[in-house]
Amino acid sequence: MFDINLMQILINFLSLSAFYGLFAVGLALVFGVMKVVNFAHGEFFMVGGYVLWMLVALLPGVPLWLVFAGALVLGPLVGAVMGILVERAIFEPTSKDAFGGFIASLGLSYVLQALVVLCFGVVSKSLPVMIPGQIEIFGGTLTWQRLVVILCGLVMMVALWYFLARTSGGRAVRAASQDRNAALLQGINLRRVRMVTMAIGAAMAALSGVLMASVINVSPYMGLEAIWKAFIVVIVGGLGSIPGAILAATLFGLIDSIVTTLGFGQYVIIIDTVIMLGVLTFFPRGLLGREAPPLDQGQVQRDPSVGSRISGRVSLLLTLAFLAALAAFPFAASAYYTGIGVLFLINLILVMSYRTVTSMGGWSFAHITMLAIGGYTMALLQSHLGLSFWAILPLSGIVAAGLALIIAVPVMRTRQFYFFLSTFAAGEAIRQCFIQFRGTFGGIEGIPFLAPPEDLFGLSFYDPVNFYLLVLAICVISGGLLYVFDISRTGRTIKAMASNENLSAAVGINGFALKMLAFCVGSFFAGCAGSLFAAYNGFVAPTDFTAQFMFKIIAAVIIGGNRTFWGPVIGLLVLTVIEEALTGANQLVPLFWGLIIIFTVLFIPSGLEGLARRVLTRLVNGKSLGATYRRGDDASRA
Amino acid sequence: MLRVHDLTRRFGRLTALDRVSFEVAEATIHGLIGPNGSGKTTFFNLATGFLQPNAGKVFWGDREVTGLAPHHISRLGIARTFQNTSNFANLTLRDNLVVASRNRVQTSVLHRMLHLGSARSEEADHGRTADAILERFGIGHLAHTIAADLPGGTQKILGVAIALATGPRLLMLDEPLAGLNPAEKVQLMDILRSIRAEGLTLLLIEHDMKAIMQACDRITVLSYGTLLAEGSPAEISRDPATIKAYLGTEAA
Repeated sequence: MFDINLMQILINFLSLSAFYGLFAVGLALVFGVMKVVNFAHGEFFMVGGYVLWMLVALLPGVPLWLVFAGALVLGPLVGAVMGILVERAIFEPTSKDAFGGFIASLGLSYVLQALVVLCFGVVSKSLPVMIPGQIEIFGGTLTWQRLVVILCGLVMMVALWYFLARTSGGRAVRAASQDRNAALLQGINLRRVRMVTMAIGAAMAALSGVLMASVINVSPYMGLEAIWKAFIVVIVGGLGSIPGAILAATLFGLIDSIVTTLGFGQYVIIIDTVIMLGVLTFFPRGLLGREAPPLDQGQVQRDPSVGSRISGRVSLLLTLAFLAALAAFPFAASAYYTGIGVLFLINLILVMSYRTVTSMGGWSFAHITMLAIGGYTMALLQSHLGLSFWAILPLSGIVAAGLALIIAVPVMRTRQFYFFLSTFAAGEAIRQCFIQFRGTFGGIEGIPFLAPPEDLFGLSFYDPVNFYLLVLAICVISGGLLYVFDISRTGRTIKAMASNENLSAAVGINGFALKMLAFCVGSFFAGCAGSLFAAYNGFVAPTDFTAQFMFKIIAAVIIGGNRTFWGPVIGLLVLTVIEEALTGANQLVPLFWGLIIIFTVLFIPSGLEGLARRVLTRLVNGKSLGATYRRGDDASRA
Repeated sequence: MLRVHDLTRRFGRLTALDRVSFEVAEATIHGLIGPNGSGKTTFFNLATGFLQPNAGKVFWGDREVTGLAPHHISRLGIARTFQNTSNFANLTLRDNLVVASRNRVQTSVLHRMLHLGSARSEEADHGRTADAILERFGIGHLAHTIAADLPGGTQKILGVAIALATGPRLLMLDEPLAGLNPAEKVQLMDILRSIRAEGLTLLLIEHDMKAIMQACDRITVLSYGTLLAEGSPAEISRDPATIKAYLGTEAA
């Protein structure tokens, strides 16, 4: 029998809820005012942890409780200053483009992690218990540390409520979160409101970092691990709704404390995600999210690159040259670089198929999960059923597409940020399944001893050059099919639908089905890439399918641009070159990737492909470009 | 043809539409007028599935269509425009109309996905229809211009052309004349009359009283979400409640 200690559940519930609340409410507050999800929210949390750790390290003789009290003040201050800097450097310049701001904050999150790794090392630091001791209440154990968490959570909530409800500054924040333009017209200084909001949000994250530091250890990735929880809480509560965030924090505090007390702590992520998907199925805007103004749609941006294009012949020549270079590569390169080439080609399938997913307007965070599903399909079917690689290859794509379909049902009803965050959560939950269900998926070690594809036409794929050529062939076929899909009537309808969902519904287009289709088609090719990846590595393990891998795919498409196939290709080339140039200094890789992402969002929003196209167009067929523009001018004068 | 019964929609404590019932007769031009905030656009959104009513029913012919998805309603033959951005900004005018020809697609999705010959020839066919519609609206020479590059008035006309390209039996237009110059207004109203002459039905939200009174066969007046009056243009122009709603109490 379970020994259920109700008092202990209650105590755990209170302290977990307080932590979730502190951490997630800042995110909700920032979203409410700025309408952008700050992916780097977790890094403010991490900074809080490092403030405490540094104070402990720098002030040896001082009593720990005093150091802790100091950190409780200093941490939020540091967080607030950082928040203001981030607002000025990233969110203010991108205030017209919420998606750009979000992606830049994603880049920032990796930059901050890399900087901390550089300064303090990658190893996590454990801290002593700040306030030792505990009391027993009706058979439940309450450590002083937890009591402080609960008290700080309550104090911050009351202080935030007082600020928002009773002060003029708080009213300005609330006004700005309800209606930006009306707030501006009332003479509210929006810039200051945004800065105050960012400062409060970041300070709350840093405060929760200080509070949790001695419980969960300080590491550069503690923010990335914790942000997942904040995302789930704000999605279930309703983005931008502070009462919603508090409600959801309480809900998950209760669920997690029950689950943990019953001894199923390792399944918390999976259980929470299932609950999130369930809530999204019935409340696509979260429990307390404001009812969607159904026709809220920003002005459709004119894509400046429409109309300028390289002629088909030049494009074909470039494609052939690129393919020839890829085909010649393994004969010129060493075995090491042939291996890099294989991974590059697998990534190429991933970024091309990811571009198809993004064409429907949703930037999934679960694309690497689809790769993982393909990989595990390969591993399970090969090791249990002994199926041939050639049979598994299409099957792995079908399994990935099928799972995408299941995830998509709740997730596709959501829009924009809900979509990013819920696919992020769903992807992490699936990865957790691979880790936790050891019997089937082999746990953290994964499934080893996978064989490469069986010989074909007398070619052995133990030979890396042959394997490279095989991947190249599959890459070309995938690229060709994705290209056909892209230029097909369906593909073009999907892009039109993404630009104006309301009108597309009004002309009879089933947007939901088309989004599902794009998601499943993209996932199919990611799944196929997964079986190649598994066959190449000889094993699958959850550690191969990390958030950083996903970040690389997103970064490639952002840096390159997603308008044509060249974008992701160029983006991936740049990222791979950086990665190889920094061999031996691996911790610098995310730093450079993150910086490039931020730079791209801020200065070349159409991506390197857009930039290259403008330059090339001018060089190759300057005349016809002029003609295109002139025709456009005539039209607008007519 | 389109009939609503006791249609009610609330936003929080505000009742945007309160037990509104009326019918649009086939092959007529029906005007829907009323001061700002009287619930006209809410009515459009309810009738086309973009909003769900709190109570009441929508009938299309004999069939109840309350609660159907917007794309489903479109496929039954009801087309609508939006007050702003009623086009696909980054497509050419011709492609705008081709995308809007979804209701006439007969090839399977597999054929279209794989860009097979049958799908291509069907699309070429829709392209020719698109050209004809653009010609009819006097914007045929702009077929290869990107929609976002058009001036506002032309974009409004394009919006109507897109709605017509869906092959509807009922066209619901939300302020089609707003932002048009006088010549464009005359031209568009002529086109709308010729569309009705072909047997299509039109339901217009419009603030241009002169155009409404000239073109409409029947007019429904909404005020604060309730149905205020209904009748021929002559009856409406004499209706005291309507005059009061538009001009305030003193004028009445």
